[in-house]
Amino acid sequence: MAVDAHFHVLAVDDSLIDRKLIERLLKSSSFEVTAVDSGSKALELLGLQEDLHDHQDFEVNLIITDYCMPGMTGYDLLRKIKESKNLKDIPVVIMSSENIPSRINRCLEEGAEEFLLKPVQLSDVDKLKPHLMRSKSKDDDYFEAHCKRMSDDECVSPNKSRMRMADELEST
Amino acid sequence: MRCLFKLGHVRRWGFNSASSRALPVLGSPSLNWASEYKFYHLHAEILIALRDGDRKKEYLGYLDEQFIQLEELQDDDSPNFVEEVVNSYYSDSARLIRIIDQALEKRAIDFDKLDDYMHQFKGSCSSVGAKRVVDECSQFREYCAARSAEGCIKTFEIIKHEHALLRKKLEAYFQLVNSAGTM
Repeated sequence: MAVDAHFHVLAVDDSLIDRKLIERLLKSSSFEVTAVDSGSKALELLGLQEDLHDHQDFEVNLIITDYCMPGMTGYDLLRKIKESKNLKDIPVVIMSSENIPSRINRCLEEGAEEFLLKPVQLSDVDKLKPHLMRSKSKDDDYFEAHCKRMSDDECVSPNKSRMRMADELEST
Repeated sequence: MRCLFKLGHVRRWGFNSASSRALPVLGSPSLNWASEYKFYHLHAEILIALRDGDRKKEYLGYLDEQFIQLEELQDDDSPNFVEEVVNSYYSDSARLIRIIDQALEKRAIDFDKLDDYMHQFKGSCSSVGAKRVVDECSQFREYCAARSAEGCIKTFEIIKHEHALLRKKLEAYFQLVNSAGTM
């Protein structure tokens, strides 16, 4: 479906098998996927380490990361993302093979949207969709693709987009 | 021969109708009844049968529902997904087995490192549904926590044995699946 094809997920996991698995899970749910094997690679792609402002080539709607990774853990990655002005609004989901309540709470408190237990299932991927929809609705691209031709009544976009629509109508 | 589960069960679990090639379909013309029967038997043999109401779980097979999840993810876009994952699993786990063997040979065993390696290994096993191996991995980690070199060494032999046994079963399984051909 055209709508889902706009959703791009960045998956981070040091395990090759788990990367293959998460990639397939996400692709079969019609998401675009980029899979990397470390937090530092993820940050590189997101443009954080080089402090790039113009990284339109790499837009991401959700980051899903393993917790236990050598070097930078999923938690470290989560913190760096939430501390970044450019990236803090991207929803982050943590995966872990270990069910440790204190770990789960720590991640949720730091701003993770969900905490998934491995092995991740198709039903877990379904849980991600509302988070993606929320983040996308703030995005102008989504608005342009889906609301431009609609009237104000039909389009349930946030106020910012609504005002823009009004501007467009005025200009025509 | 005792039947592990009803035919209907196997149909629901093992047969991915979305894939035209990878898995045989019940009554498919590409399989004669003899190989279909063989397939059922092998598929049933490798899967764990979890019977409702049983207090004691009998592990009659080697794999759990995670393997079925892999099969369900296989489709025309990714027609060899299961075999690819299994191949990755065996090459990756071979590496970890070597590392763990070396770690166990040291005179002064670093149990924390050992536990870390086993955590990685167990994760991979869990992702492919290798239930028997996973259970032994849990046992191994308990011996790590208890700082028992003997326990770790003994359990690791069992792990390697189960790992190799599963490999043989999966090889036979994929051979049968691949020889069944296209629809």
